Order: sequence, then structure tokens, then C-alpha cells
Amino acid sequence: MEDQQQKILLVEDEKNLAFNLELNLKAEGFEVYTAGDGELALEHYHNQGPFSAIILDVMIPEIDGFEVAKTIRKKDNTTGILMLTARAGDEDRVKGLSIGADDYLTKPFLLEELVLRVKRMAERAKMYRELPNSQTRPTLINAGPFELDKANLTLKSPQGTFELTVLEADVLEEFLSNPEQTLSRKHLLNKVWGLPGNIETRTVDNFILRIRRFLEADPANPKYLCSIRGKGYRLNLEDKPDESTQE
Amino acid sequence: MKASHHQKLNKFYSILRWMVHPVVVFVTLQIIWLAITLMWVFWFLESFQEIAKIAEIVGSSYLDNQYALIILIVGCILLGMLLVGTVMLFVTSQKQSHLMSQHKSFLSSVTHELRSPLASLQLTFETMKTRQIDGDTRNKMLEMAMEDIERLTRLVDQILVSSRLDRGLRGFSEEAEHLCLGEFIKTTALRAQWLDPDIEKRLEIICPQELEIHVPIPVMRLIISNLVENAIKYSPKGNPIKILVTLKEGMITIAVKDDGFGLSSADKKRIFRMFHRASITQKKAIPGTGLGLFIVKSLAKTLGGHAWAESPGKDKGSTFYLSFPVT
Repeated sequence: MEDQQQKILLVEDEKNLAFNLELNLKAEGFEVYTAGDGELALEHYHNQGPFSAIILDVMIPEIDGFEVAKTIRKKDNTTGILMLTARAGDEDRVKGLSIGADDYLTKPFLLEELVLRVKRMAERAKMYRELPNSQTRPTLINAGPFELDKANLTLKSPQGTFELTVLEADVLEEFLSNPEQTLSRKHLLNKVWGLPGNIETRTVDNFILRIRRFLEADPANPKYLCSIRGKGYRLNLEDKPDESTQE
Repeated sequence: MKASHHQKLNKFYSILRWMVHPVVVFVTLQIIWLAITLMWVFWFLESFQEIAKIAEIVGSSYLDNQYALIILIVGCILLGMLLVGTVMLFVTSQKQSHLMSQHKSFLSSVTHELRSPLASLQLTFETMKTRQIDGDTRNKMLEMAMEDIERLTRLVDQILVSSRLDRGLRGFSEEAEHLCLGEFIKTTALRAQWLDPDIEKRLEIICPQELEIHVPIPVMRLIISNLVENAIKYSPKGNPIKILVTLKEGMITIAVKDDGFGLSSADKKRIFRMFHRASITQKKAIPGTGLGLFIVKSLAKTLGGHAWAESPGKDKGSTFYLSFPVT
């Protein structure tokens, strides 16, 4: 069980980069399966899984990284996906995160940052896979019209019932446990992603856009999960004078 | 209430965006312009007699009947010239905008091509600094770092060469040297191992034995490496790449044939243009800058020859030709 949870699927077609990443991940105690194209990545995923985390390059031969992420997300909500790419445009970042990637790192990157992110993903996957048997953590979290089931990774909201990825569930848990409180991007990055606050925070913004689809009737004009300019985000459950400002 | 207000506002903005689109603005302006011109012609024809009377009272002889036609023609020519001027301005601005979007896409491609080897280099040195690694691994990592540096150098060279070629061929003169063509093609093609480590297995070179030519080596190397790298990038992994050299009537023709993704008829026309990338590149996530074939075509001219592409169609492979006189 322990071995299975420490497996990493590395999808990278640049052989030098793949070699270095594999070496470092192995040194961190992970079992690494490397694929140089999208087809092999899905083959490894089906035959060698479950994986604790997937490091996925976008521009890979055969099937591109976005398609690979989409295919995996259709049946797997617990494996963390970190998009690792040379494409730095915001459009790609939003696309990657909206199809189910949990994190996005642009090349070149710091080794320490990558290892930190992957470790956090692996921990999260391990925790969720063990959650149904755990007696210590509450699995149902209610706040206002929302009910988050962490064991089954679902959210009931006025918009319907949604299946969540583990990171989506973690982000929602943070908001549902702290309603009416403004949570800064750094706080979210630290508490949910497990990363120090000096790392860029655009991932958080892109991720909030994804979360809003589950909560809001009109995600472009959020009623519940609002941006507080210069401060962060707040989950509004009561109707009170609107202090929030959309960004 | 607030949401519906926002929806209305969004709809209004999208209509406004459509209305200020350059083509819509241009067509609208031209319609207004033509309407004003026609109105002016009708007004002039109808009111000329009255204008002539006023001119008579004032004592001007320039508004006599004999000048009416001249004034009308001159006015129409002037308005016509303005019309042509605006059309030319519009066409130029559209070309400019197309060029700008090509530059943007080029910058994004170059950034991508720079980031990958840079990431690899950074990771190599970080790993060497932070991990305990054995001698063999260290040597392998150093070799990889050298490969990455070579790749970066090649990219910078491509940009510099295409910039020089874009300014014209006059400044581009390299000293010619003797070389054995078959051997040279093989050595150059195998340098593409950074792109495909199995290139040697895929490659088939057919060249008349002992064929020696007198050409600038850097020019020839750039042409061959670009054509081979292209064949690797635009064909499935493991598929054969054939290089056929023929000598006929004092002309050497080098054909690089792959059975890859092929070329659409639109791509066939534009593939040698600077920054142009085949439509398949987006779909298949093929790396590149859109400079390689521009360099091939321009350098072929420096050899007194030319380059062209043939393809039976999409997914049916393609052949790139270089033809130049024997010297």
C-alpha cells in the first residue's frame, strides 16, 4: 500500500529533463515511471497505477498533456496532476487548471519548489485514499447551502451535486470551515497547497475560477465566493451589504 | 437583478466590440464615403446653374458652363484618390496586424524553445549541487548539459542567420570548401540525435559514391540539419527517413523524404515563409520556431539553387528538395 502511494508518473519528452527529474524524485523516495509521450503515459497510468502524483508536460508527442489530464480526470479524482510546461501564457494555465490539473509550474523552475509541490500532492492523495477508514477526521462539512463529503469527494450545492478532485475538496474545505472570513492567497497557498507564501499566487486565482463553477449560478458574477480586492477571497453565506469587489 | 444587469452589459460590450472591428469600421466608412460622393455629384449637377448665376453676380469666370465638367471630373478624381488611399491604408494595416500576430507567435515559440533546455540546465546544476551523485552519473549529466548548451546555441544561430538572410543575401557570403557529400550528409543528420536518439536506425542515405562538391560548409550544414530535423519532427517516431542524392545535367538534387503528417495545399505554398508553421504543429504539439525552412530556401539561393516541397496530401508524407549546380 505504502509503495503504491509513493508512485509518481513522470510524463516528459525532453530526455535530459526527464533524466534529472527522475533522479531527483527517486532521491526523494518516490518510485518513478517515466513516459515520453501521451500514449505511453496513459498506458503506464492504466497498468502501473494508482499513482500519488502525475507530473505532466503539455507539449508531448502523440496525445498532448491537456488530453492526457482530461482522460485521467474522467475516472480519477484522487491523483494530483502537476502540469509542467514551457508554455507560460495565462490561457494555457487557465486551460490546464480548468480541465482538472491541480497545479501548474512553468519551465525553468526551482527543484525545491517542484519537490515541495509533488510531496504535498502525494501526501494529499495518500490521506484521501485512507480517509474512508479514518476515524479522526470529519468527512462531512456543512456550511450554508453547501455540503462537502470528503470521503466520497462530492459537493452538494444549489447548483447540483459535483464530483471533486482532492485539491478541489481541500480548497472547499478551507472556505466552508471559515465562512465570512477573508482568506488571503498566501494563506490558501500555504494551507492547501502546502507551499511557502513567496511562491507565485496565480495558481490560486485560476483555481478559484474552477471552484466557482460548483458554487455559483453565474460564476462570472459570484454571489458566494467573492474576491476581496488586495486581500483575497471570502465565502459569503449571509446576505449583507456587499463589500466585495470583483477583480 | 445584478446578474441580469451584468448579462445585459456583457451583451452590449460584445455588440460594441463587433461594431468597432476593423473590417466593419472600414466597410461602413466606405459606404458613407461613396454615399457622400454620389450625393455631391447629384447636388453639383442639379445646382450648377444656380452656382453659375451666383458666380456671374460675383463676377467670377471660373464657374462658367465650360468648367462644369472639368470641376466634376477633378472632384471625382480627388474623391476616388482618397478612396484608393483609404483602401491601401486598410490593406497595409491588415498586413501589419498579420505580421504582428506572426511575430507574437514566433516569440512564444522561441520562448518555448529556450525554456526547455534552460530548465534542463538549471535542474542539472541544482542536482549536482544538492545531491550526492556517483562519477558516472555526473559525467552523463555533464554530457546532457553540453547537449542543452548546443541546442541553445543552435537556436540562437537560427535566429541570427534568419535575421541576416531577411536583410538580403548580399551580406551572406561563406568561403567554399571541398566535401564528400554522402559522408557529410550522414555526419550532419546524425547530429539530430538530440531530437531522436534512434535517428541512425531510421535514416537511409542513397548518394553517388565519392561525390565531392565545393560549397560553403556552414551553409550546407544548416540546410541538411534543418531538413532532417524537420523530417524527424513531422513524422511518427521510428518511421524511416530517406535522403536521396542525384546528379543530373550538372545539378545536384537532395531529396529528404518522410512518411509523416504531409502538407496541405495551403501549407505547401507558405511553408518556406519566415515564421510560418504548418497547421499540424498546434494539434500535434510539435516544437519549432518557423525559421528552419525559411533558412533552407534562402540558403539554397546562396548556392545558386532553390528548395521546394512536395506532398501527396495530409498524412501521406512529404519530400523536401534542394537543387543546386555542381561547382
